[in-house]
Amino acid sequence: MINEIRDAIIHYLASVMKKEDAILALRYSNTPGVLTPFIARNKEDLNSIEAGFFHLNNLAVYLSEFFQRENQLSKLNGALYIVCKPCDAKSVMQMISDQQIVADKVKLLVYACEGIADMKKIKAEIGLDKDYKTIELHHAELSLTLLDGTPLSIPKAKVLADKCLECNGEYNISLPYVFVGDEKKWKTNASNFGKIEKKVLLQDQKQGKELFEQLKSELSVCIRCNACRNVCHACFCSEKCIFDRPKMTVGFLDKEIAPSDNILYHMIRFYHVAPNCTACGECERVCPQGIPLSHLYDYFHRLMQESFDFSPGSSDSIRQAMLSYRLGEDLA
Amino acid sequence: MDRTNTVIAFVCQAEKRKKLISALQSKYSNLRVIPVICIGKLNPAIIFRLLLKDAKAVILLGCDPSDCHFREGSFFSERRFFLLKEVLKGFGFNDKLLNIIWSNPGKDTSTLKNIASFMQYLNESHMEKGA
Repeated sequence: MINEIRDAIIHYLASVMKKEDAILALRYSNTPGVLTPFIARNKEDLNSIEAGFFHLNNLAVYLSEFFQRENQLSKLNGALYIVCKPCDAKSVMQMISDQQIVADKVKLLVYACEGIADMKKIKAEIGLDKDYKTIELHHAELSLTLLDGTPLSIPKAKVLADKCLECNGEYNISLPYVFVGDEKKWKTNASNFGKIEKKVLLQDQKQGKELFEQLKSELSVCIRCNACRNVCHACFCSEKCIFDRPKMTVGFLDKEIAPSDNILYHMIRFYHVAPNCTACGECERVCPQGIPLSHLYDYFHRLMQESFDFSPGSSDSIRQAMLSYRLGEDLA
Repeated sequence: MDRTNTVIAFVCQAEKRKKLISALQSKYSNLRVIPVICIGKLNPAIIFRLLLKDAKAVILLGCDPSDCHFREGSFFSERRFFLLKEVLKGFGFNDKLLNIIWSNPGKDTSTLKNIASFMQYLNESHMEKGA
């Protein structure tokens, strides 16, 4: 099924691609189960495009950097096609409404995604001390070969990412886009990926000092590698980031890696990101320390909806909540 | 000066506030007043850092949103400080350590009263930061 969709994507791109166009997609790497982003500039590159179960990355992150570079070189005369999942389209829309990228130059190619893998779940299934040589998806079974040659198969539903289990197939893409696959069928299909118990946010269970202590202990393992910042499409001030400037007049973070500084790091980051976080879950996926950042971003995602009636990623033309105001509004 | 006992006040620097600033500085020994051009221009990351590491509490004194000299500075900062308080709450931090006062220049008596009650509150209750 997913191979058909991959072929359909390549077929469509080959028919519309012009000489000046570029395509942002994923392709196979040497590491099994890992796809790497790349930019295809001619028709021969198209054959290496991959999509499907291992399409983990949210490619919207690369857009602002790509356009900055292209504008300097004035290289891109055509359009940029971006191959993405329906949930990534939200991030692209949010970036357009934040005026990070120009809407005319981006063309969305959304495909009927069938859920993506959670590599941490796969690792937990096969055991933390083992590794795999090959990994492939056959219908509802994930078949692996371990390093010592033992074959293994895991049902797909067991290793689906949490955000796919929560997915209900409701996306309004306000940009012109092309859907590869049957869109109506996908919408009913997406709500049946699997079920997960509705997550109760940590902020609803605990409050005050208890919550502070728990977050402090969770964040104490943070090594401040900035991976969550670099992968975030909402963190777009790439060269002006305050965490990169230790010699500024105000030193925001000390050099020591103390729990109190880690909390400060995440407070500042979430304050910056909250108005345009589309809850894509990339920060949790890339965290090398496995910090469950989801209960933080879910909380702020809900907060934005409740207090400002604004959900990031719902349209490409809404002004961001922190850059607008309503007269006579009653906050607090 | 003991850092853990310091209270920092960011005050919107209107012409009529000069008296208020000098009054505050003479009245409280542990209060530091920092005048800013407009409270809407303040970087919230500074407030996070002060609350978590360098100060006991923070006071933000801005003009009433409808009377901002820069027309819409206070409207933006109203939303910004709301989010700031919510972020503190979301992390379980005691958001009562952040006192936000909206008052016009010239209404010094009510502002002084407000700050006095806040300082008294800080002295009476030995609040921990994550509470």
